[in-house]
Amino acid sequence: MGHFGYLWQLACKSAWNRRGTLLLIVLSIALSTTLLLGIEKLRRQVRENFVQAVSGLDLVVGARGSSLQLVLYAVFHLGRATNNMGYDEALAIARKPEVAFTIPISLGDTHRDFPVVATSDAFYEKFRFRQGLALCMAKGKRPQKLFDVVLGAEVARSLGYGLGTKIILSHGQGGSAQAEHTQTPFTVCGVLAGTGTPVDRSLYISLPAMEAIHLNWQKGFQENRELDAQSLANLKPRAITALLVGLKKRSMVFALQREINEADTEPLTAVLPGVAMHQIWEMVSVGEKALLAISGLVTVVGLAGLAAAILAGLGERRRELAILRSAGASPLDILWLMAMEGLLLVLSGTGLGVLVLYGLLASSAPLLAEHYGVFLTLAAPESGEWLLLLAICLAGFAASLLPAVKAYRMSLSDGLTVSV
Amino acid sequence: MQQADEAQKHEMLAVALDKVRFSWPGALHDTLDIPHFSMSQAERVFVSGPSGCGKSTLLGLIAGILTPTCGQVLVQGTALESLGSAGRDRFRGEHIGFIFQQFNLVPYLSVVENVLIPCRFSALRRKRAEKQGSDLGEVAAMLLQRLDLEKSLWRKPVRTLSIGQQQRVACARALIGQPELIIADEPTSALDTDRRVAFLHLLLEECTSQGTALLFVSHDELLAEAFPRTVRMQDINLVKGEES
Repeated sequence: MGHFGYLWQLACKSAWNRRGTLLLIVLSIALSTTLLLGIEKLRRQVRENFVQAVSGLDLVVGARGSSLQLVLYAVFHLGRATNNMGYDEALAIARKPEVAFTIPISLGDTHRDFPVVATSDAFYEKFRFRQGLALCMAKGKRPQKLFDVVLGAEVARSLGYGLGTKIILSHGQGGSAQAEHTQTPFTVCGVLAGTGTPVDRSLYISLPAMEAIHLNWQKGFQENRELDAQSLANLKPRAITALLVGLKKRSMVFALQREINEADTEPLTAVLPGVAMHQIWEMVSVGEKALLAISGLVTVVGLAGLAAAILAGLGERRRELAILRSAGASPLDILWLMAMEGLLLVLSGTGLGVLVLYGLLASSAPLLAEHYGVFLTLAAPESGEWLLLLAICLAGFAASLLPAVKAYRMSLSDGLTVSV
Repeated sequence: MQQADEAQKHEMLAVALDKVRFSWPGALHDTLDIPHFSMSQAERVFVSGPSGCGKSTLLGLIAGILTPTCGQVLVQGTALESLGSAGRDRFRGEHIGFIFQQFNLVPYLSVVENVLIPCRFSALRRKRAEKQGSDLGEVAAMLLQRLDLEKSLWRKPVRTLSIGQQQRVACARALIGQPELIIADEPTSALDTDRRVAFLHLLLEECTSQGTALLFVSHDELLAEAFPRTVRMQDINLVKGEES
């Protein structure tokens, strides 16, 4: 065993000898670590979940307006579109040779505050989330009949709906929902599996169904007359809210974006969803940074406790240090011994903190996924998290140098003759 | 020629203090003023004196913890003031063993681990100890056996030992690796009379068998008769009065 190995062994035995007191310090560091690392992990995963709400989409196209607003309503189904785009224009974009697929979506109605999205089969086939995962049905199947509706996982869970449930959609959104489409009740034909994205919080009907429920509507009010069979047979969407576009080659995205934005037909806006979503995240990330800063401060308090505990114990240990000095330990050995003790406590605390965090993740991940749509993975810490752990260890080591230097000075002045 | 003779003479000595004065920083007067003090290799010297007469300061100077304001302290022919602070620490670990009044042991180490501490900090003492047995544990065991400490206690935490047993462990620790000098600072004052005498005899026997010089400091002059040489602090220190 080398010299430092022996000092490390002494530090371990000394710490074990005072385990009652030091356990509190280790717990304090562990909790700080759990908090700091947990917030970082949660922040990163929530961000990933947010940014990966859609995957494989190259452009979001809507009526001319704010790009952030377009992404908010097209991807997150939040807010409302100031204008619609023509369905013919959407078909024209779909026919472009560089376009692989398009998913038309039409918004505007709700059911019990959940947005209703009218879309085509392309949504079920082409929509991707979280690095390319496809949608799949947990129960039932896609709409087969005109008034079939598919529920997002969270809608089904929170409203307690199942296959065959009859529901009435409301005209308009949120507090502005003006009337109910009582003439056209929908039947639940399927429930999507959970995705942890806004998909879970919406209901899905077909584009013709969206047209159907708005037949007989004049100036926002429904005329009280029966829908005739001929009208229903000739349903064809006239306008949609947005078009999600996937390209054959991503390299073509800027050219197509420019082409759509500069087209002199209908005034449209084409947005790269990833860029816009990062912008949205940056807008809401102030709170997240504040949370990280607070947990950083908690860690600082934990490490200050470490320094204070070692400092407080120094008085009782003067004799022990003098004995080591008399047996040949230099003041520098004493400094290393104390610093190693600090390092041992920090390593134990951070190790325990990581274990607690992963325990919490393992036990709460299903709950978070089910109730909040936040998917946490039990993957090993990533580079940023390793850096945080390293920072905690280094800060702990630095904090323990304070009592170590005091012990060094004390052992110089005490020499071998401490009166106890 | 005279200087060479002087140096050769000093090499024969375990300890030599020459015109040594020491004062604590900020103090107006010297604490120690020792024109000359020496002890030979393997010599056993009893140093007595009342509290505050400078005994601890003298030990601090010989141990290299303190450095004299002027004069020279030689231990085993090495002028301690010529060594740096780290050098003095190393020298102390290699050549000097200590026994204190009480609280001699590291509480969280076992008996054997306490005995082996000097071998962990000094390569020289480790080498010397390794020559005495197949491994360090065996050497520690031999010492503990000679000092009459029951085998059942060797692996136990030292806090379970009586004061007398603890002093014997401290004695074994001071002796391991055959240092040339043992400094014993009031090692018997926490023991009752019977154990005091028994401990003293064990210590003297071990020092004799290892050929180690012993500087035994105590205010209990009754113990002096066990030593071939007795030195009163008042006789070697020109400064009279309380130690600061």
